[in-house]
Amino acid sequence: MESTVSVLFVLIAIAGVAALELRQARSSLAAIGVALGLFAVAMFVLGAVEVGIGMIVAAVALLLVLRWAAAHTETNDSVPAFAEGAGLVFALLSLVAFVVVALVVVRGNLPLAVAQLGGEEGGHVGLLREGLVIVTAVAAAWAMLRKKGRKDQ
Amino acid sequence: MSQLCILSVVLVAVGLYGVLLKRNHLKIVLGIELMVVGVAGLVVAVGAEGTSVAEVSQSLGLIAVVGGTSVVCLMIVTAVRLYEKYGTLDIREMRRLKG
Repeated sequence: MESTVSVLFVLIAIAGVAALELRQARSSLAAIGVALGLFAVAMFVLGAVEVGIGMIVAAVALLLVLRWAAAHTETNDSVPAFAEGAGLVFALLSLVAFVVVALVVVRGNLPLAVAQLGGEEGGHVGLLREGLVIVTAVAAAWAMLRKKGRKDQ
Repeated sequence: MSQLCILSVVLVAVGLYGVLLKRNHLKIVLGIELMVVGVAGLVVAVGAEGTSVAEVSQSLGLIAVVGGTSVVCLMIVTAVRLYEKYGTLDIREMRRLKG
């Protein structure tokens, strides 16, 4: 059964890429519809009936809103496909870093792995987690301070 | 379970690719929806055991799907309003959002 769901997940990823890459709004809409439908089927196969039904309802609502949006904006995507320059390099590096860290955490090869997050308070896992929270808070404060003074020109 | 978790991460990565690299506002929103689907899949996959899924995982997955899709719908409406204001879906042209 898991192999069936795995195949469905691969198809969802392919449909997702198609939804992002296709230039025509209708094609893109159809691709995201296929992805969401396949996800609902995968949930039914896996035994998560509630999630499957919720996904179907949510997908119908989303597709209606997307159809409305496509009718009120451009039918063909005229915006350049990719970001440019240093932003592109930074985005690619961020994407690769995310994939590597997420896969390492999911496979349980880090002390911060999902299965070990309930480590003892005061232990090295707890300290690492608290350090991560502090670094995140500092980054957020820096981002907010950086915005101050940047006004509309 | 581990295989499904990895595939869910791949789904999130596909969505992140859209969010980071696309300039079309609607494509970015589609990327966020794909990330929502990936996260819901991850939550369900963690609770999957044999032919059944833990009820907590199902509830969390349902919340992720419904909540995430609601937010995405609001973002689509915002994208259309911004298109009416600026005449483009290119996020780099929306300079007056700065500050």
